[in-house]
Amino acid sequence: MTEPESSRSISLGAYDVFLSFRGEDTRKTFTDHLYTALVQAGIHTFRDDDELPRGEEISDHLLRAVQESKISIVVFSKGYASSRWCLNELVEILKCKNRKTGQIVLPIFYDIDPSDVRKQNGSFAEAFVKHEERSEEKLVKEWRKALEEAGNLSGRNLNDMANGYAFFPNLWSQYTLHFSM
Amino acid sequence: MSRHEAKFIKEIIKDVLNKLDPKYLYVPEHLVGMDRLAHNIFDFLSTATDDVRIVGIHGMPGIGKTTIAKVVFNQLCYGFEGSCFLSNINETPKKLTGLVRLQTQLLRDILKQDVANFECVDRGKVLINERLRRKRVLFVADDVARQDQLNALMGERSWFGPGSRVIITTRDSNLLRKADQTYQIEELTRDQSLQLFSWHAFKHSKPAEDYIELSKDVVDYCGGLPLALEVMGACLYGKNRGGWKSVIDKLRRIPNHDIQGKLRISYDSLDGEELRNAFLDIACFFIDRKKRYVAKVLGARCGYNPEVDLETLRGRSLIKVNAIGKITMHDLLRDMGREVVRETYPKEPGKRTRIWNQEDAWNVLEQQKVRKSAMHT
Repeated sequence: MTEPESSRSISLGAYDVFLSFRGEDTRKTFTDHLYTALVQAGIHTFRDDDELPRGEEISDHLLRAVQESKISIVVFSKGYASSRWCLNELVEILKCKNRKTGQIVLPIFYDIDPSDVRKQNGSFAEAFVKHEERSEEKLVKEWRKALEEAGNLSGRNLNDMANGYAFFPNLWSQYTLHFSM
Repeated sequence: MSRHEAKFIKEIIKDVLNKLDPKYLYVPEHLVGMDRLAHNIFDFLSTATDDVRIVGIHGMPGIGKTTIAKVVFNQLCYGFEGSCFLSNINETPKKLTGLVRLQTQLLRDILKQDVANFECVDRGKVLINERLRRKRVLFVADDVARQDQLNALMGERSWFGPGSRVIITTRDSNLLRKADQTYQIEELTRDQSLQLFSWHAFKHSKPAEDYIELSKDVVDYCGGLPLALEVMGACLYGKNRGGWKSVIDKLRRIPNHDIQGKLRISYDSLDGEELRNAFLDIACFFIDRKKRYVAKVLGARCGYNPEVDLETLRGRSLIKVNAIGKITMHDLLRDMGREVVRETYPKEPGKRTRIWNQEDAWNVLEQQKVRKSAMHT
């Protein structure tokens, strides 16, 4: 008959948006602007920063913030894949996509090609050379899979905007989720 | 910040607001024993193909057909050009206007705009076919009871565009002949039942230590039916052993198949006449009405603020309030409430405390007239 248990499963989400990004790349620039705009629009947003001092493991608190958010926005920038923290977070975010309330993941490609994310080319390739030296094979595989999945989701690409295309439509893949967890 | 970037952020905010627009439906916090089935259905429907796929879900009332359809709908709904969840199709009036209303809602939900009025079902069929055949849609037809309902909404698969997905829930598996896959929902196992019951009776996944045996007794009487487990659990929440024993005693006397009788125990254990009256009023008149409206009407009658009563009914799982603030009630509970009213004078609607259907109302009024004119002569 304990009370705290019941607060554990708020099905409709405590946050509207969970914001995942590479602090070094966009903390003071794009992500800060985006965060401010979200908050100004009355959207309850949780902002994580991969460089806050803490351990390797994603804490329960953070995990809960991911799980209880209705939408996760992942800001992919050139350095995203070099942060183990970001990659672990992405894995968790994608896990939440299959929850019963159907969390939405909205990837933002900030100055990076979606195919670089998908196939881990360019700066992501460099990052993975290092990961493969230092990290467990299983983990690296999981990260690659997560990037491939996230890169396939319908999202927004800054370069399209600059080139005059507003959209990056890829609706099909948005709902070809996999129950691999 | 560059101009592009500012515009970019604006677009993202628009996306987010669009997505936050609650297309998805309320599902209970604690779902037990549904994961595997939901995954199977989802897997089948989320495979990218250009055909129109139809899934049928059938099973007895209160087993969780609608819930599972909602779970799958929530997972899928953002990937389509349009989506529509038509609830309680069986509840719409049997007359043709009922079918037209369903057709109108289907068109409106998917096209996201008002549609021109039409009065006949055949016109509706043409409209659906014409307007939706190029759209990739997700459509749930919930609680279908008759073939003509299905015919009016999706006479042919080709009425919906390539890649469309349809889920039909029904008690009658005969209506699912056109489905590509059908799934029957089975009763929960004993362990699953105990878990679901505990969420409601103890707000925990397991029973409290000294209530384990009592809990097992209750669960055995619920026959693996999620609705019964939820209602009995919510009814027993916070009661002492004495209270439990008296409920179990009542359960014992009710035949196994009589689900309504079991649900009735929860109604009978409501404290106070006003609370019971509020439940009956809702069952007879106020399903699908805004909670604020219902509170106002009930408040005017009973002379006090009924918010507490509504909260109690909600706590007992006898009513639900959905995301847009409307009160809903499972049809088995509604039928139980109406039966409470009906059984007082089964043959004389005029003497009952509430009359909710047109036919009864008409007859009663006519009889009154007859009686009055008889008095005058």
